[in-house]
Amino acid sequence: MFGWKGKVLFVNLSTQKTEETTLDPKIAKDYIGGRGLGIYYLNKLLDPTCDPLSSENLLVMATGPLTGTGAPTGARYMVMTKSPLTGAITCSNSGGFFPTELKRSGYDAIVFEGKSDKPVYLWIENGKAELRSAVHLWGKDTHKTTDMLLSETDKKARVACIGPAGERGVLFASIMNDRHRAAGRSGVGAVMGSKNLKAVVVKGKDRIVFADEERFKSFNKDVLNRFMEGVKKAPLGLTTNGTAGVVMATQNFGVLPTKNWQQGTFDGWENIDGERLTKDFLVKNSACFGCPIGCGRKTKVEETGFAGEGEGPEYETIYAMGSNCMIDNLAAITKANYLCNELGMDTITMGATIACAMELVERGYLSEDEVGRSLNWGDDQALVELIRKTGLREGFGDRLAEGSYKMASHYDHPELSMVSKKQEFPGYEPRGAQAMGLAYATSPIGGSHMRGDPAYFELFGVPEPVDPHQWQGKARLTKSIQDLSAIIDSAGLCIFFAVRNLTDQTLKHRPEGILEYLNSATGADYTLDELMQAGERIITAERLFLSKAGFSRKDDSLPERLTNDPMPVGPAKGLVCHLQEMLNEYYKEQNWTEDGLPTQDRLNELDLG
Amino acid sequence: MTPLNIEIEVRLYNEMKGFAPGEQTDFKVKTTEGSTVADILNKLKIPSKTEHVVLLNGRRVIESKVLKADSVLVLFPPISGG
Repeated sequence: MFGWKGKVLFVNLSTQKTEETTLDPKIAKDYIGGRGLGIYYLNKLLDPTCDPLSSENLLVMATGPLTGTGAPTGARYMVMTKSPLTGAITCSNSGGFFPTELKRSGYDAIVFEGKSDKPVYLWIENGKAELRSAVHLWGKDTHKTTDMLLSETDKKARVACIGPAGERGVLFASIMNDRHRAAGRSGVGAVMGSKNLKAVVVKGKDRIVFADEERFKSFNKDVLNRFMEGVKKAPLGLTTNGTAGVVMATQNFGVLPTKNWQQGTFDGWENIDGERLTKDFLVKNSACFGCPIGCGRKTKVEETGFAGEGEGPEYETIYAMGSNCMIDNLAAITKANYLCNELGMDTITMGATIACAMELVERGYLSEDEVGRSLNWGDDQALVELIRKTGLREGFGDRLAEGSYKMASHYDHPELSMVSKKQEFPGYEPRGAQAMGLAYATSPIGGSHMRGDPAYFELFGVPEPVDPHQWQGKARLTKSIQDLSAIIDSAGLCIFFAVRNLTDQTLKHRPEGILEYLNSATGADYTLDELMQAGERIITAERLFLSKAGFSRKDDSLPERLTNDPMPVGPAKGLVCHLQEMLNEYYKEQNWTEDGLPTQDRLNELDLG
Repeated sequence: MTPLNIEIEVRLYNEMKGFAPGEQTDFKVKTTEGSTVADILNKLKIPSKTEHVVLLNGRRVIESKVLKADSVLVLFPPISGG
């Protein structure tokens, strides 16, 4: 095959056997790869009602046909499994260099089944896969694990691994690759840990074969030239200040979640903004394979008590651990980020769970005795200490390791958990950005903006401005950007480049540039309609899995704080999120039932019947 | 001559700070009732081809939007989060 490698590796951890299978070209075209291929395998092979931490669960690591091709930001892979945090699916996406190396090692995807008796890691070199003992690695943090694996395999290999949090079943444990990049959300690391799979190490020389290399390269040159011309006119905020630059924007929109989502503005915002990160902590930018943006931040903190080196923080980490906890000390937030990376945990859920605990303490529902220390708003020492304890499940950390929903439910106040489908939100307040609320509620993984990011049209994206305060008309726009994201996530691209540079730059979000890349790389000869329908197929296939797992409209929800309590201050003052009105329209746009389930007609139309 | 009878607040961020008339990047501008966002951009000599995001009182608006007294106009270059 062209673009795709045409091979998928099955690894049965129970029997310790590996098997190479062929990727069916029709499946490849219909589901593209990455996220699409992941949901294809979950629907085909996994009982949606299974216990996510049992040996029955599957874990799929899938690249896309553009991963490793040299298409800008074609560096991504997707981790798909049933989430122990939410009971829904995961779509944990990461870049760096591991995904490209995985493909060069000979495979589009790996499907892990069963559970190993003892800790193991998978080593693939040029198409040859072998499971090796990881007993000596168990208990090690992600950096140490990476160092040891590189020294015992090949120093040029690439590593994706879990840390102590994944081993201990922290429900939001991540899989870290290339040390600092995270398939962060929904507890994919806990699933790896439950299978006794410590790491995947890959190395390969297998080049990607293009259907029409000349056409691909010529288009690529045009795209990069246009991009560079744009950069000359106006430097990219992402390059200058990383995603941390978003703090300034969300503060001015009044949608910077603060004090466990009690308000949308934070007085200390200038202390945690991207300009401050650049000025005080940035060592240099870092970029994933084939990325002309370089939004990654290599940083160093010297402040006593928070000293360290690593990468980050991203905007979402800054909101979750900063404004949401009323912490305006960026040194502490950066250190907290390093700790999460080393222990292997999602920074969003970690920060949001600590913020929820702070509110439980403030309201007298949780005692400081139980926490084992004081836990007031703004307490940066508590942040760092509790992250350590969570990763190791020590003391109160064992409670935090369950995420905010289970924790708040334990104290009989689940309404203080700011989640959709039990997953904590990223940092955009739906009361002041209505479509964001719909995106959170309908995302297949729960609280997330990355499976369709309305910030691009409501807050700071395409040229045509859309009023973030209006809910009318948002269902169509949200569906459209969700479909686009399904294509981007499946092709192996990053939304940071693709949304702005590979679409028609209208509110229809037509993926014209992605179409040209895909056709020249794969020769699959997609029409624009076929490609857009593939996006719809992936979204509906995910919804099909969720419906079989028992999810429906009742789960496409937001906390009452966002739908009933008017925003108290800032530009969005007085607003609530009009979720139910938008949901009614959204299900019609999807041709799903009023209860949010795909109709048989729709399934047939998308070849999912 | 039309009177400058209303005042708005302008906040410039990141690369847009270079268009501030003085050292302050958060400043007041006197203008005429009925004037638009575009009038302020002209006053600040911001070229029309410069890519930027315009917020008026926390909402994205088109540049023909009419200003009201005490509005807050925010300008920043395109950014992305995630």
